[in-house]
Amino acid sequence: MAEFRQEFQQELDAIEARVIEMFGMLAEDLTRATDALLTGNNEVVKLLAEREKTIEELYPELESLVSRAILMQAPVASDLRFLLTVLRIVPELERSHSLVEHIARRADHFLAADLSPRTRGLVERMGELASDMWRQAIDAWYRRDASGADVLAERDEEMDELHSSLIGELASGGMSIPVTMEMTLVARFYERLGDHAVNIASRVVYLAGSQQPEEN
Amino acid sequence: MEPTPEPNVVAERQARAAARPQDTRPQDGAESYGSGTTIFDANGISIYYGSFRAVTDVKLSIYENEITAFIGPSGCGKTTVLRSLNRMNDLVVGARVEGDVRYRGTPLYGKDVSPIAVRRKIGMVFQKPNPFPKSIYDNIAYGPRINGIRNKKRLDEIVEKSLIQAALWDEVKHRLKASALGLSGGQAQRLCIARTLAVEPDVVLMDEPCSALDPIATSAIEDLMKEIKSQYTIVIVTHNMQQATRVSDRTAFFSVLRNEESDTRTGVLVEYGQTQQIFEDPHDPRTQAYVTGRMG
Repeated sequence: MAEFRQEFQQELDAIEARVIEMFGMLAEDLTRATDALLTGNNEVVKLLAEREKTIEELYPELESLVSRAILMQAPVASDLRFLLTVLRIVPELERSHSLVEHIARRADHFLAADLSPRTRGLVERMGELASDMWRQAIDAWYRRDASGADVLAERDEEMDELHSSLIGELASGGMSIPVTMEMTLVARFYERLGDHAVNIASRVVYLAGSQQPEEN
Repeated sequence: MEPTPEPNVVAERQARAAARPQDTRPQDGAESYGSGTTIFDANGISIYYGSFRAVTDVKLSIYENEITAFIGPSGCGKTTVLRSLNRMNDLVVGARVEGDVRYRGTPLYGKDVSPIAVRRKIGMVFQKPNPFPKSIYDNIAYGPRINGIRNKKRLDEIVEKSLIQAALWDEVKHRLKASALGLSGGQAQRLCIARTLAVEPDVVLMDEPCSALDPIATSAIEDLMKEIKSQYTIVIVTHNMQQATRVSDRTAFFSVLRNEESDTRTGVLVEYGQTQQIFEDPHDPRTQAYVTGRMG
């Protein structure tokens, strides 16, 4: 069977490659940010600020590639679903990376030793869960797997529970007020990161479509 | 505020996917655009030219007051199926239709059905505008006269009404006696549509009505189709997929099935559904490949 529109396919592949690149940076940096926060190692803060700039450049570039493809190629079916989905998830990726950077920046604000053991444990679990959720969202995207949405929605409930527990712990007043204030924000950042992963997996449901697999 | 997750969207979509029928025919119900009444029901028709089977086992229903588009690559049989709907293929020597096709519940190829009567109810507009070498007025009055209308006033009314319906009246009302051969391509095609409407058909079949027209004339015909669909049922064959997305309520995608052993090819209906579904989320990989332009 002849394959047509190869140039268009290359444009789509280039867009996919950039999306995957953004996903990759996010997953990597999320783990680094949690590490920085818990170890007090603030060396990554500068690195993440650099990455933030890269993402801020990728975002408009992707938007313009997608607009161009929609304008010039009159996409339909899976091509259209892909381009529309990219337009919708790229802002989520950009915002999520900002949250990651905000988490890392807290490593500058207090010493890891200032955290109560329970706070530390909860943050560690939230960090692991957020990283896991993002890996699952990326996997769902890569495989165009609609079932990721259900899995992520379930895991997000775990995240919400951890968030509540952490807020409860912070409200108990065991730590200094400045540290408590910072940690309230951190709790919120992880919780939002979980929501963004859920949103992305939901978008994959539309992206995946309902095409039956090809019969051989 | 950042958007909250949307589990409902996911759940709804999955429920819809689960409820999707295996049958390729679109379902009646909330998403139906017209009255929901079927005008044609083809139940497994095959169409032959001599021993050559041009189309195999087509099952589909055409709904009242809707525009249905037939799309597909050359040789997929879409025009053959269209022509079978008003027995136009009867005029081709050796052509025959096997299987059951009903028009408003009556077998279209029944023994006591007159093909002339069928074509009076089911009009056709062709790819190339084919005005008769007569005046604009006489082109429109031709059909009604054959049907026995002689009254001048009545004919005037029909001519005016048909030309208004075909969005041509304002352009030609001062030169009704002029030859139709002097019209532009787009005007000539609208004249042919007016001529089809003049005999008050039930269905209008259109075989690539815009392929010889410029974009402005094409827009005029597309607007006209949407304008008149409340009174007629329209089936259009088009190579222009964007036209199908612009005008049609439902789309049928036909493709060519090649038999390597016997080195023969035949047209098949691959997928039929709401136009938005066919172009946004086709279920069959062949439809996907065709509408996205990945194969011919």
